[in-house]
Amino acid sequence: MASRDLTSAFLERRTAANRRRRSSVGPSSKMAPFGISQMKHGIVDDHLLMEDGNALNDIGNNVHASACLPPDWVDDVDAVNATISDIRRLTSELTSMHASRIGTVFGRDLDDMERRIERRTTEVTTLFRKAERHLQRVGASTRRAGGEESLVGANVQRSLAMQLQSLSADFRQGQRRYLSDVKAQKSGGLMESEARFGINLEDDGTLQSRNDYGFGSVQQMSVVDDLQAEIQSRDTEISQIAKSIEELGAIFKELAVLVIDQGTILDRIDYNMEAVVEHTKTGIQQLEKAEKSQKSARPMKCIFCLLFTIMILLLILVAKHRH
Amino acid sequence: MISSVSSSSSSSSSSSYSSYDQHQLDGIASVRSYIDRISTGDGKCHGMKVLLLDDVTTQILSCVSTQSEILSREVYLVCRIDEPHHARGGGGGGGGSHSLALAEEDDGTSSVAHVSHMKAVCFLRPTEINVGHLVRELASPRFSEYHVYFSGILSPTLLDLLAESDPFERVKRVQEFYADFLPINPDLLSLNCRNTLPMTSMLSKTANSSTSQIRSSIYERNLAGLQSMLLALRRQPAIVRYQKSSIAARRLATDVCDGIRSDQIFHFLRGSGKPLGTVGHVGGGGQGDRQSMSGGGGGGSSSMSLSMSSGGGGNNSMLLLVLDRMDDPVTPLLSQWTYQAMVHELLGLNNSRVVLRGVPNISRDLEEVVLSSAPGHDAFFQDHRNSNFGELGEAIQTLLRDYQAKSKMNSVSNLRSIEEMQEFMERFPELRSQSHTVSKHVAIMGELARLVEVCNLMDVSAFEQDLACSDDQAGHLRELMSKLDSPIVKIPDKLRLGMLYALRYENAVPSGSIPAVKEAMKRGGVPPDGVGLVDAILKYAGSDVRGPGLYGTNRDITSKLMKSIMTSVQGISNVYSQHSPVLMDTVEGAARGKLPGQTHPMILSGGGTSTNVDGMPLPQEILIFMVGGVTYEESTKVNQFNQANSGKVRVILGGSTVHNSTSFLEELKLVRNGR
Repeated sequence: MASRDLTSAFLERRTAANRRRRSSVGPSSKMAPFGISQMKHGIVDDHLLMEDGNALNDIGNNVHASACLPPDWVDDVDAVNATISDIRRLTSELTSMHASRIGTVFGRDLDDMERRIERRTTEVTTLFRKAERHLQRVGASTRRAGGEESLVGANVQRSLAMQLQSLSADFRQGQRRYLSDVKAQKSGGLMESEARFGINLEDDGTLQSRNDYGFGSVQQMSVVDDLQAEIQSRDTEISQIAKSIEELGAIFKELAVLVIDQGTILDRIDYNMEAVVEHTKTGIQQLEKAEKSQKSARPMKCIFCLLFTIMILLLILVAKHRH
Repeated sequence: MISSVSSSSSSSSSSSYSSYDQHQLDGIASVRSYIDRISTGDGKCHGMKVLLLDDVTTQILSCVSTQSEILSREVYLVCRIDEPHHARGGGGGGGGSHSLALAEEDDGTSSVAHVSHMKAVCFLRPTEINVGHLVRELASPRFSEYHVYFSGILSPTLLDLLAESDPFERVKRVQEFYADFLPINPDLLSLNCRNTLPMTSMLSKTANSSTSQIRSSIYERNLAGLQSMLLALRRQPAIVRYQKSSIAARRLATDVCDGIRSDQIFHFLRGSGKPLGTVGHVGGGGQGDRQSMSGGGGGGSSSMSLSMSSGGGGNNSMLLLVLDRMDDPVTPLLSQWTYQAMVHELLGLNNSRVVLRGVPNISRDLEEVVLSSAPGHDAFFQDHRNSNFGELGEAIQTLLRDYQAKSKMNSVSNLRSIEEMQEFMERFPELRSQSHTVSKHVAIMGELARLVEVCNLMDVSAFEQDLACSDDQAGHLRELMSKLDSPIVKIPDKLRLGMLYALRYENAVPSGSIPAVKEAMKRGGVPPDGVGLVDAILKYAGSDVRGPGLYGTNRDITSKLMKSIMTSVQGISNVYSQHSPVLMDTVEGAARGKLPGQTHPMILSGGGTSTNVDGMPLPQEILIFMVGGVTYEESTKVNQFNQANSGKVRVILGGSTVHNSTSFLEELKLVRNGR
């Protein structure tokens, strides 16, 4: 896999060539002020003016091309890229948070941790939505622009959609794993709290014989209440996660439309190029057809024919009334 | 892997030395690494990119890469440089007054402004036409930067031209990446350059017509392709031999040798005693580049020469063998029974694309499918491209059964809980792509089976093999006549049978049978145009033109006897694959050092040729280039040879194109018309 770099040789030659060109162009650029002064004097030299205009135009084009700002949708693309990197960062944080959440069973900061996870999850989900919104905007604005740009836009959309889709798939998988782990822990946790409950009962029995008879005591009720509260909080947590998965699923589906199936003919570079040429051809054909129909004289003939008839009829009418 | 070791990129290239150790001759891998570097602008072009290609490089790129791959590298637009894009505003067309035309023009100029923030990566063949397009492009640049990569050696005048015509200094890099051929399989390379058959005969004459110019451009293409194969595989052939009967082969071999001698790019760190060529074709800075290039950088040189000697067993490891299709006109005429070859013969496999449009009961998304050997595309095809029809049927059956088992497991009715549904969703994309693969192969297989049935191919092929492998004139003539008169046999098959017979019994003692055969062909419905091809093939590759070897004429009596005894003892394993191309005799001879110098002389380092090939070391690697095109049958046989001799010899087969009988006969028509 040898290769050869001709850049330095090329640059050398180009500098030499451009220097030569500049020195040969030199005299004609001296002509320019002359032309302008002539114009000031009111002597209009068509030829010089034209040359001047061309030179100015050239410079203008050059400046225009080099300083031309990229279109708006490029900002959207940048936004999507930034969002993607944000999502990457947040998801990795989220994974570590999941791990630490799964790792701890008890502790005061459990709820706090879950809340944080929840917040992060919604954040990521909104980021996904944001990226998708930007992506749609890219599609819309490039489609409006038409031509090559719409093609670029479609390809940008496709590539970004591919990245987003794989990210969202990873994210959903992580969520699902977390969810099932939490669920497993929850059922385990319930048993544990029941065990705690049992121990409590025994403790109650040995230490506080006064409560032996009051089985339906206030303390017990409060334990049940606690459990209920815990169950409820976990329930909302789970339903929230399920909701986020659902939303992501919707996004996934929307993105799937954009992503190409790999290994099919649609993934061939040459096929796509041929398709573009084909599209252009049919476009040109349709344009030609439109032009022809616009130019075609049939409607005009009809109009003239009718006008002529009207005139004749008018004449007949006038002639009739004269009698 | 070794990149241009200019001072700036030396760090990147030294990191790639390690991968060189595993570097085996593999066409796909070499071209892929080039394409990877091109699509990233050799690591120096970031942001949104446009890829500008020409006709040939489009094929090369799509051969090894896919749309989704280049999209992931931020290549968002691929266009042809030779296409007249409407973005050239200010042209002032004649019908400019028209409202529609005006609107179009406006659109054009706006799109110029809008894509000009993108960078262009050009991957082009180094031809005058392409450089001309590039010059026009640079006169009114549409993109902010141009990174130009040429797929072959750029002539200094073209480099000058390019340097002269870059007034806005938009070109950032000019580099040569030698991916100038299509790697079809790891050991099969093609140039996809058609109409090379007439080259053989045209080169011998000093023709004065315009056709000779076309021929010479085709010849240049072949030479550049062969050079780029050597460069991409990073091998400098120790010995170059050619087929004596062909003038084209001789000229190609001589020119390649001259090229190697005059350009240091071909010198891959052989023994230090070897004098490097002194004539670089670009002076000044280019020369410096070249030297550091072939020097390979100080740090890496020791490891590289080590790997060279371990992989190649010393200095003189590669044999370049330039052959001509003319020596073996029989192979492209035979029916094929291995997957890749069969698809090409019956359906046409062009740039790994198969068109199934018009096949009965085909679904819309299978009208055109891809059969590519590039890794990661289609594992089934990779494994089974050399399997024969029977094995293939079984393989497809197991593939189908696997898929059915999987899809049953994943069927929607089995989904009871949310979890199962989610799991299904995760597996769904994989399942879908698998379903596409399965339906693709089943569809192709179905169509092949249908064609075999309709064209009565089993019967025809058995007779073809018989014609190609055994000598029985009276019997053959009788059977041929009955086949030619039979209404079941299709007309193209009749034509092929007639030609096979004519080739075999061209100089048989009771002459006069060939005119009778031609009469019978006419009676059987072969058009006169086709009947004429019998004479054409005898002129192109008759016994007095081609080298010895076809029909085993160069074997001595004992080996012939041995073979007949072996076949009579073992029996013929498969009636449809008795035939072994002449190429295999050549390859085996070359690998064992028994290829006679009389038929395949050697090019001497001084420039002359020699038939004395005694005392040459055995080659470890053989690159065969066949002028006029190769066939998939030969590729299959070479693949089998490589597997049988893995670790000892590795053969890479290259050719101007890959023929099936249709394309071969088309080119034969050109031979006839050329005379």
